Amino acid sequence: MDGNARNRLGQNLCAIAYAVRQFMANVLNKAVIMVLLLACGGTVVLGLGGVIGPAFGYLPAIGANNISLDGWVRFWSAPGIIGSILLSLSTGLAATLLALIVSQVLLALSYGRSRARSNEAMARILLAAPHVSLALALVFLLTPSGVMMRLAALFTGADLPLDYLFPGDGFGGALIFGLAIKEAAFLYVVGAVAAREVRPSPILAQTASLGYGQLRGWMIGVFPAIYIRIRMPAFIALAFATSSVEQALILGPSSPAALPVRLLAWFTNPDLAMRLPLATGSLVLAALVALAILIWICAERLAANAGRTLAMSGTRGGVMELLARAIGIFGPLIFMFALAGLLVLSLSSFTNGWVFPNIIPQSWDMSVWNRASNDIGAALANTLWLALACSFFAAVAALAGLEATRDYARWRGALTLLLFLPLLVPEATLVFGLNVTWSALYLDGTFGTLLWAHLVFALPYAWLMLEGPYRAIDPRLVANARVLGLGPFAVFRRVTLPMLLAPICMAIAVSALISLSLYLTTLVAGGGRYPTLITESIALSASGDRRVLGAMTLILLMLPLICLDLAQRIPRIVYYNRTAMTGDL
Amino acid sequence: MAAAMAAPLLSACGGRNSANPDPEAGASWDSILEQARGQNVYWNAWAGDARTNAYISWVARQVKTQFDITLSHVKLQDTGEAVSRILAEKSAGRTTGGSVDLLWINGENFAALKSNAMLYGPFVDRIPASQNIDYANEPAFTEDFTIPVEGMEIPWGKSEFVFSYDRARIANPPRSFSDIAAWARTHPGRFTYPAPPDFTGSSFLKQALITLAPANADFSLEPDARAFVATAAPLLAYLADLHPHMWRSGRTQPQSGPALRQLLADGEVDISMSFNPTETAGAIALGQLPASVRIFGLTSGSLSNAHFLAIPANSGAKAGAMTVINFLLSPQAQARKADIKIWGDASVLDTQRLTAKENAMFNLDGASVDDQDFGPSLSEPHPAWMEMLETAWAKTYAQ
Repeated sequence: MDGNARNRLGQNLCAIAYAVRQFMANVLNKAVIMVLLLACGGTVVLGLGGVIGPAFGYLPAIGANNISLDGWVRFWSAPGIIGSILLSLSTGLAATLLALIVSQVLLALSYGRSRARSNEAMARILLAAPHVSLALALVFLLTPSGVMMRLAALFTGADLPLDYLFPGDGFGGALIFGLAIKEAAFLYVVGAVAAREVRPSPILAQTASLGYGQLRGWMIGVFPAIYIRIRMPAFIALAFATSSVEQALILGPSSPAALPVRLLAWFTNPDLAMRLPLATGSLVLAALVALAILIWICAERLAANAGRTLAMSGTRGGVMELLARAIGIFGPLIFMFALAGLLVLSLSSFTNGWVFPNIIPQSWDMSVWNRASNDIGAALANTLWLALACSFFAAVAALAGLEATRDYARWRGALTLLLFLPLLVPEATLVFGLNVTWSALYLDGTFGTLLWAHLVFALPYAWLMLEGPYRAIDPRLVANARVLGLGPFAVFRRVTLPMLLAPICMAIAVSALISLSLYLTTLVAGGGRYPTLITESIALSASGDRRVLGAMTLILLMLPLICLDLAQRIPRIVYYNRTAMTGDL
Repeated sequence: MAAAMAAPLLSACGGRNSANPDPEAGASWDSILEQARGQNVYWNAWAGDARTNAYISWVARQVKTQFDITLSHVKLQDTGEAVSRILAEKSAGRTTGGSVDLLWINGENFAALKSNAMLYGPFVDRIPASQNIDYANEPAFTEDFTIPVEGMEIPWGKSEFVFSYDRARIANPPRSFSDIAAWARTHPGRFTYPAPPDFTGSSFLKQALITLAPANADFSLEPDARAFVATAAPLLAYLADLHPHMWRSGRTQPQSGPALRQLLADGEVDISMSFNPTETAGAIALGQLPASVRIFGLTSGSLSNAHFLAIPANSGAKAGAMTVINFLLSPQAQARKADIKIWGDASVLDTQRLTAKENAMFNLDGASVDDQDFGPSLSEPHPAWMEMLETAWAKTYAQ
């Protein structure tokens, strides 16, 4: 064989190898897309299917075999049901709107200043705090026998608490307050991530040179770009605020209670005929979420027009600026207030008899912790295993999905929509529905099912944390690497992955955080056989003992904080000499 | 810790009881014990009381060493959770290997499971310890909320509805329903009851219904709409009178009995209530209530009932569950349960049928509750009363 022939053979082999690799990458891409689409879509279909049957009267277990509207009749004839529906809709919309405004004003006023770091730290702690804990903390601060009134009693000398209505006011004000704090923290954190991509500095410099204040400049120049990126998170926040049960139970009014609370009461009602209105109500709740999002989208249109008019008018300063300054001052105070509540609630777990009007606990003891330590070992192990497995698979699946759809924008859109669908359907609706399938296949109460259930809710967040940074990778870097002879796998391993280290850590941490916080899902999918910290805490909270709830708050707060801290620390250590890769603002 | 960490992975592969067949019809107790060996029993039980949880974990250690049974306490916030899980399994056609093996249950939950044929049994006659229970003289053991038990659940303990108050705040608590209303008028905002369908709140309404109803009312039967309206009218008038003077002017109510207890501890109200006469003593011992809190009953009588243990029809560890039940009804286990320092839940065993040595196990220090304080025992009405009452209540106060 002469030299030329050998060269040709070499070239051919190279070309074949290249083609094979390319082909494999293509097949793999398609396979990944299909698997993810099927898994996400299948889960939603199974979940909804499980409630649509009973909603129309089909639930063989209680002898309901005929299609009927009995569930609908029972649902609509429940006393005060219209009030419940309106309450859920209004509190969801109000809390989300408030949260969006507060988070954006805080972001605008602290951007590029030292305050940004402390605001973000506070927002992260609040994001990590379970809804139950935050609600209880607010109650402990603001209720007539709470910490604030005890401070007041120092001056008034009252020895009996006043009798005013907090929480549980009829308009859901307390509920809106509690939800808005959590959602503001969430929207602040995702807003800060989006701001990193938008790079507001040059825009703000330009608006400032035109004479606009920081806030007006942000509104005109930066907010529209950020909003596009946090629109999905805003929808998620809205869906959650409308349909979540934990805060509504504690802060919401009792007559009538919010719709999810009514559903829970039907769920635990031993009269099994109530499963029919439960299923109907689950569908109504899902429709309510859709309606809330629709109203939000209409409001977006109006706001966009108003925003354009405002931008064209060229006015500077004004009343709005003052109002926003007030939010800028009070926003962090409210964050601090909520954090202080979490702190005193945790503190109460080390006390014995800390009641009105004492500011300082009468005595300290460890009995709650001693009792808790008996139960905590197994629950902690389950929690950690689940969180580790869930966050690992969520990050892997999200990366695989993003890489597979790199050249297929339409598939990515479809995948994004399907991934987020479970977050837009109320958790209760989905989980009760899925449970029918799980039981039929003898799958409930297994670790694999539990992992599946957790992934349904964690994967969208991992996707959310990774999609923006993935898109922000300069395509020329990838093209260069390809030109230099790297195959698609090697490019992924040697260019994409290292560039994404910071967001990957964040995605893992956030997935773990979601996994830690899933109560209903863990309970139902685990068949009660996998006690985790949150299921144990909520079961024990039936005791109504504030100290037990304080202990639970402390534990449930520490774990996510450790996750988030690690997620920030690891990129800083790995890239100690490359600031731009550490994900800092 | 390492073992605990590995546990979920191991049980991911196995750990289901679906392979265990049910005990055969005529099987001897010894063969049931033999079959129970090595089984995993999942006991679904309400977990809102630290003392109960500690007692259950003691039971788990005992049955492990005595019978080689691995007993896990599935901690429930509400027994309805387990009922709904059993329902979901049935609707999915799972007749064996269910996720619940043993249930702590009574009243409406029992009625629901029994009428839907989701319970295993009758099994009570097969439990040797059942011989020490005097069914003939304890109507609460054979009729659970007027539903015939028929051997589908076995009594485990007894309860009575009581109120509690802080002696440091009020000297003489109101001892009748009319006194409560009068007291609330003079002490506005200092009385409330948990919002139904909470168990404690519903029990308060039931006791009031029975006490205030016309003398000819029969609560053992399912009422028709007219009978209900006539019987409940005095109660609804009473509530209309009471509510404006309640805590937060009646505009909101605590969500549960323990939530009401916390309000008493915080000094927001002066009276709390519960369906366990010894709960208050326990709460004081745990630091949940000040030491000056005492219990009292109404002179017109107190609602009383029994609580039971049952085995779901699709349990995969019935022999194990029966063995655990037999242990729970042993003099040793009942004596420990009745000990006010441990839990303080009344024994269901008949002292006449126990030996002197067995009777000596019961430590009665401080556990004696003077029955005269609580008036006569009032039996639970038929569950249909409760449903109609909750609906009527919700129509007025939940919208």
